[in-house]
Amino acid sequence: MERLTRRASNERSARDSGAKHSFAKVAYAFALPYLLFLAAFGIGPAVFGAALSLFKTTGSNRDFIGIANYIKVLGDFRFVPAWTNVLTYLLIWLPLMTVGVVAISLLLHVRLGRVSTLMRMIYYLPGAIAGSASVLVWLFMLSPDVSPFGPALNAIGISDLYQVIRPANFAWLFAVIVFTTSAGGWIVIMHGGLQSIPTELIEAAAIDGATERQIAQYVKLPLIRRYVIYMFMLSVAGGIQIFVEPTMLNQVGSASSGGSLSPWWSVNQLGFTYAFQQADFGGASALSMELLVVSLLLALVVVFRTGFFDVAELDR
Amino acid sequence: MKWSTSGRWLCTTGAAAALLFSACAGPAGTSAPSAEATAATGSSAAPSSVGPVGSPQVQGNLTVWTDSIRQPLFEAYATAHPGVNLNIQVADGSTYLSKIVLANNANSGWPDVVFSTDPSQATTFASPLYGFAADLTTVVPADVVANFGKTLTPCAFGGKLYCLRNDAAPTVLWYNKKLMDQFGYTLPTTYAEYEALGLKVAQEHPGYLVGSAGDSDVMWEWMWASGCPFNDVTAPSVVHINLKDPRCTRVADLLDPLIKAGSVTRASYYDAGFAKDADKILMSIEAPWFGTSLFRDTYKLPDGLIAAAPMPTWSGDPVNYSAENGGGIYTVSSHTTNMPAAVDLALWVSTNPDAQKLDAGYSAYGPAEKAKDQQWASSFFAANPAPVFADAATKIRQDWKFVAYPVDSIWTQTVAQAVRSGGTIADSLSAFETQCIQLAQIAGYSVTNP
Repeated sequence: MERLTRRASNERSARDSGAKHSFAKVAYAFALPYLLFLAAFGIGPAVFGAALSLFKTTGSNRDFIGIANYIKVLGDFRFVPAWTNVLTYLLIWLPLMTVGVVAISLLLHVRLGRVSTLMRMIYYLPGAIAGSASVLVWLFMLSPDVSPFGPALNAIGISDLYQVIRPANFAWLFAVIVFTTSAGGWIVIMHGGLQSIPTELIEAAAIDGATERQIAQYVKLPLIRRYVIYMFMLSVAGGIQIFVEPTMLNQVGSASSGGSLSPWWSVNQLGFTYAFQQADFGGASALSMELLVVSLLLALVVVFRTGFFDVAELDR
Repeated sequence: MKWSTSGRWLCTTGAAAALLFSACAGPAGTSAPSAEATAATGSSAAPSSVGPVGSPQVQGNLTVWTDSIRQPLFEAYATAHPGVNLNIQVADGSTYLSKIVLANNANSGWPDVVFSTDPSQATTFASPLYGFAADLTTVVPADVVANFGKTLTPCAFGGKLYCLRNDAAPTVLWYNKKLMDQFGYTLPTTYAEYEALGLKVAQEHPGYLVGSAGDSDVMWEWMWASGCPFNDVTAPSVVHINLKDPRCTRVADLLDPLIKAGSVTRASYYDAGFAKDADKILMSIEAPWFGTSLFRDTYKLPDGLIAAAPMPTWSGDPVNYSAENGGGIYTVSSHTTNMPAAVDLALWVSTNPDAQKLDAGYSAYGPAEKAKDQQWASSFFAANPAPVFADAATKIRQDWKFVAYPVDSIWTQTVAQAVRSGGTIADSLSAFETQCIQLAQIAGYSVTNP
C-alpha cells in the first residue's frame, strides 16, 4: 500500500515537475523580448553611464579621473537648487498621488457597475497622452485668453498665463499636471488590487453592521496596503527623474529672442545641460548615477521589504 | 512551487531591475530624456574643389543645417553651383549643440555649414568645449570683412574670425507716429529725455508703453548700448564682470521708475496675449526685424503707423550707440573635408545680393543690403526706415563681447523673472552678477570682478 502510494506520488511529482518545467519555459519565453530590450536600452546604458561618470570627456577622448565628476557636480551652484526643487515637488505630489488615487479607487469600488467602469476609463485617458502633450494641454487650460476656464481664472485674479508659470509655482504646477496624467493608470491598478479582495470579507463586514466608510477603512485599505506602497515607491523613483514637464514649460516661458526660464530646474535637466550645453558627458553621467542609485535603493526596498513580489506556492 | 535559492534571487533581481526601469516611463507619467540622435550625415571624402574661392567651378558634397526661412538661400546656391552636391537639413536651432556634442563623441556626423539665428552660438561653437567653428580669418578677403562693417562683433574674437553674419539687427527707436503726433510729443534724443517722456506718458496717458522689461531684450538692447561690462572678455578665457559699473546701474535707474509708473510693461512683447495691447506701444528700442516680424506680421498693425528714429544718446557717450538683438550667423565646421567649398558657400549666402534678396531681414553685408533696401520702402512704414538702420549699423557699440555660456538664460531667470513678479532691475542685478560669475567659471573662464 505504502509502495503504491509512494509510486503514485512519485509519478505525480514527476508529472508535476514536468508540468512545472514547461510552465517555466513558457514564462521565460514571454519574458525574453522584454529582457532583451531591458538589457539593450536599460541596463546597457546604465552600466555605460556608470563607467562614463568616472571619466573626463572631451570630444572623443576619455581620461580616467575617478570620482572627480561627482565632486564637481556637488559644487555646482545649480546642484542644491535642483535637488531642492525636485524634493519640493515630491513633497507636494506624493501625498496628492497617494491620497488621491486611494480615495478615488475606494470610491469607485463602492458600487461596481457601468458608471464605475466609465469613470475609471475617463481617469485613465489623460495618461494615454504623452507627457509633453499633456503639458501643452495644461498651458492651454491655464491661459485665460484661450482657456474654457477663462472666466474662472479671471475670477481668482489670474489675467495672464505668465502669472501662473513662474518658477515659484513650478512645483505645484508639475504636481497637478503629473497627477492628472499618472493617477488614472494607478487607479486601474488599485482597482485590480481591490478586486482581489474576497467578497465574503466585505459581505461579512457589511453583515456585522459596518458602513461603507468603515469597510473601506478597516477591510479594503489594509488589504491593498502592498499596492499602495508599490505605487508610492514607484512614484518616488519616477518623480525624482522629472524632466518632460520642466523642459516643456521652459520652451513656453522663454521669450522668442532667447533666454530660457528653467533650463536646470530639475536634476535630470541639469544632467541634460551638462551633456548638451557644457559638452560634459562625464558630469551628466555622475548626476544620472545619483538618480539611479536613489531609484535602485527604492526598488530594492519594494522588492525585498514589502512582500509585493513574493511568489505564491502553486498547489497541484 | 518552491524555487531554488538561486532561481529566487534571479527572479527578484530581475523584478528589481524591471521595477527600476519601468519607473522611468511607467504610470508615474514622466519619462527619462532621450537625446536627439538624429543621423546628420557629414560630407564624405569628396574630390577637392577646383578653382579659387568664389568660383562657380567649386565642387563637392556639402551638408548644411539651417532653418526653413533660410532654406531658399541654400537652394539658390545649389542652383548656381551645379558642381556642388548640397544636402540641406532643416533643423531646430536649439538642437544644434546637442547634435554637435554627439558628433564630437562619435567622431563623425558634423555638417559643413550651419546657419544659426542666435549670434551668441559662434562663441560656443568656437570654444574648446565644442571645437566646432572653423577659423575663417585667412580665407575671407579683407574687402569682404570691411563691407560687413561693425556687424562682425559676434564673429570676431580672440583675434580671429569664426563666422559670417546673415543679417544685422542694429537697434533703433521704433515709434508710433500717429500716437506721437496725437499726444504732441517729440522724440527723445537723449536717454534723459527718454526717461522724462516715459514718466510723462505714464501720467498723461496711462496704459501706453515706451518699452518692455519682461524678457532678456533689456539685456541686449539697453545694457549693450550702454556698455555695461558683464560680457567683457579681456583675454581668451578671461571675462570681466561688474554689474555695479555706472553703465549698468544707469539703465536700471532709468527703467525702474518707468516700470513702477507703468509706461514700461512688466510683460514681454512676445507673450502670447500681448498682441491686443500692441497698438499701445508709443515707442520702443528694438531691432529692424521687430518692425516686420512683430509690428507688421504678428500684431498686424495698420499701415502708416510705425516709423524708426535714431537711438538716443547717454550723457557722456560720444555718439548714440546702438546694440544688436539677434541677427543670424553662418559657421563653417572645423571638421569639414571640403573647406574651400564650405567657405565658398558661407560667403555666397551671406554676401551675394541674389541670395540676400531671398532673406527679408536687414542684411549685414553692406552692398547686399543696398541692393535690396527698396524692400523697406513698403507702405507699412510711415517713413522709410532704411537710412535709420544704415546709420545705426555704423554705430554698433564695439566694446561688447560674446561668451560661451548662456547669459540671456541667466538674465531671464533672475532679472526678467524678478520684474515680472513685481521687483526691480536694480535689486536683481546682483543675483544676475553672481550667476554670471558661477556659470563663467563652469564654462572654463577665469573671472575678474569688479
